Amino acid sequence: MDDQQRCEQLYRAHADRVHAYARRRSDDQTADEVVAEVFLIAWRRLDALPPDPLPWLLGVARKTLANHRRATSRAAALNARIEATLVTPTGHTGGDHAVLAALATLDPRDREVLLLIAWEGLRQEEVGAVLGVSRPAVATRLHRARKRLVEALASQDEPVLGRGEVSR
Amino acid sequence: MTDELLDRVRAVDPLPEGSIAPPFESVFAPLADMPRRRGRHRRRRMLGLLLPAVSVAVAIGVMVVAVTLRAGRNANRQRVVATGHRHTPNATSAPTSAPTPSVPAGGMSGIVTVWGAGFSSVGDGVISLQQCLRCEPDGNQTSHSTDTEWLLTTSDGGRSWTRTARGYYIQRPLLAGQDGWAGGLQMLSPKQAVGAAEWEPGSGIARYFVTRDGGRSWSVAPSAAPNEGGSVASLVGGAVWAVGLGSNATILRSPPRGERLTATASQPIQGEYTNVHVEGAGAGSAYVVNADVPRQAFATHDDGRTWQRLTPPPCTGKYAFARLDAAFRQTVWLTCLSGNDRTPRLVRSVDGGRSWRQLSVDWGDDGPQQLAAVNADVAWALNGEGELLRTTNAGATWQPVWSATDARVSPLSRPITKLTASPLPILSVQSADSASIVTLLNRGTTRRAAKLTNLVVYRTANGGQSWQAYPVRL
Repeated sequence: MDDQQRCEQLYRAHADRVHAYARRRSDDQTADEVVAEVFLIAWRRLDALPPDPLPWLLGVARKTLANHRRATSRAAALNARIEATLVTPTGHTGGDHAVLAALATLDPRDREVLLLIAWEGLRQEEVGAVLGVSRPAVATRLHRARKRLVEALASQDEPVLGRGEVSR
Repeated sequence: MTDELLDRVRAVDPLPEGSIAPPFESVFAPLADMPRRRGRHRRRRMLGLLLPAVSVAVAIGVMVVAVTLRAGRNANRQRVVATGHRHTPNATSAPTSAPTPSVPAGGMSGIVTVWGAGFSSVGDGVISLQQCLRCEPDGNQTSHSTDTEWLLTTSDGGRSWTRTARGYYIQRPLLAGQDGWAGGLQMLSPKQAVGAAEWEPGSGIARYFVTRDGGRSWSVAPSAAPNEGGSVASLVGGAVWAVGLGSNATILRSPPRGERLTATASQPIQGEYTNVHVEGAGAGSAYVVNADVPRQAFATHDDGRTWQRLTPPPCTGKYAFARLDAAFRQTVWLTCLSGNDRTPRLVRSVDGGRSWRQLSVDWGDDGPQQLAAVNADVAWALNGEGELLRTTNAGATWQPVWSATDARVSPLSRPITKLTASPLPILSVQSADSASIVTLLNRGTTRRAAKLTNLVVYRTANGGQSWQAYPVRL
């Protein structure tokens, strides 16, 4: 299998996941640009990709998105952009507004951990690989996010959820 | 995370059905003609484009030239090989194929991850493993998955190993002689460990652990506060420095051979940060960096009573400190990202951070991963491509002594990209000349759920000129 075939195989396996990650955090055009840039970098680093490349690809997408925001100066801060995305999620008209509002109150770093698990379907080790932090750090942020999400929901007179077994 | 709460978060996913990326052809066709960044990739691609168009004679000529160029380039590189026997380098001879180390029978099923490894200069060693059974082939956990945490210990420099199941995992275990420290998570029962319920009351409590027998037995160290355990610790001269990962990134310290970590008198970093690193430097000195926030690096020389902010000139503008290692009291090496392109820089101070010198080192595309300074002149560095570099002249020049991907500078007979776990080797430096590298590979297959048999520790005692391989029976 030559490099072109390897790259095509990599793209077909993961491009949709990378696009979804970017699309959840930006507009459609930006998501397309992020996908192109991520796989350009992957193409250059094809021989050094880890066996499970998805966390690595998402990590590159995350940095690419951050660079894109700085370059275009469209958003003052990541927090405001994600909050806006959360409040008016593209293509999603239903939704639990209490949860959206509660998510918007979380620290951006804690929220990113939570969303990488809930939306991107990653495990904690993979989240650590995406964010470049240790597993205990991921666990800490997840714990904080969960705790404050419950508190935020409770403050909206939502029923407080009981603790249960961790699903991931 | 409760299932109900997680389901509610999933329910507000703006793209519950996922997304569809542009077709491969529309994105990649323009990219296919672009050169790779690395020289060897570019050469390979150029060859691939030229071969169909030129005659066999020309192709042979190109290959002869390429081989000649590579040989010339490698003349200054030390070739490192390792097998079950010791090899000495011979830079002038043609590269020889190093056989795969002999691996004892046995094996560990499931998906195995190496969390950390620590070695002392007296032959003790600890490797922390996690084994996930009934995981899906792609590594995802299911409701039926179970995790088991293992410790491998040796007291004879790696010749024999003992595997023991633990109710906790430890990350970055550190050993100095018989004494050792590690951050970790204690599980109350294997069942409650399912899903790795870190920090969840009733399932696990983060703790620090201490050993006095080279890692064969561990006890929970009294902590500064409940749930303040973290994974980062530094053990220099018997004194321990650590960062708690609770509600605040609290710098903790224990005196030599002490077993109680307490918060230092003042805290240089305020806030709930989780990417804080601390390194002890002996005699009351330590250095702290916060990689979450630009321009946050500090030094103390009075056991944490006062802290001075560090301002290396190359690390200006938008950057975050990434790695730091303190050799001894006044000497510190650290990496930072500088400029809008976040270029990795390496700087070094020998006067406690008052003045800095910028050093040049090839961090590769992924930047620095591990940095181990031994003294003011000798340091080891592992970059994101799995290349181990060493300097003996204060960073003026760096010698490649190990590569995860380049077989010509590798103790492995095949590239380490075949790993099933541990994407990068784990480096542990014991002295200026001695170092250990832990690798985990799976007999050349990339199937993550395959039976794992091949965990190898490579040790050098001569600065990387030769390596001794110690296969670990799993």
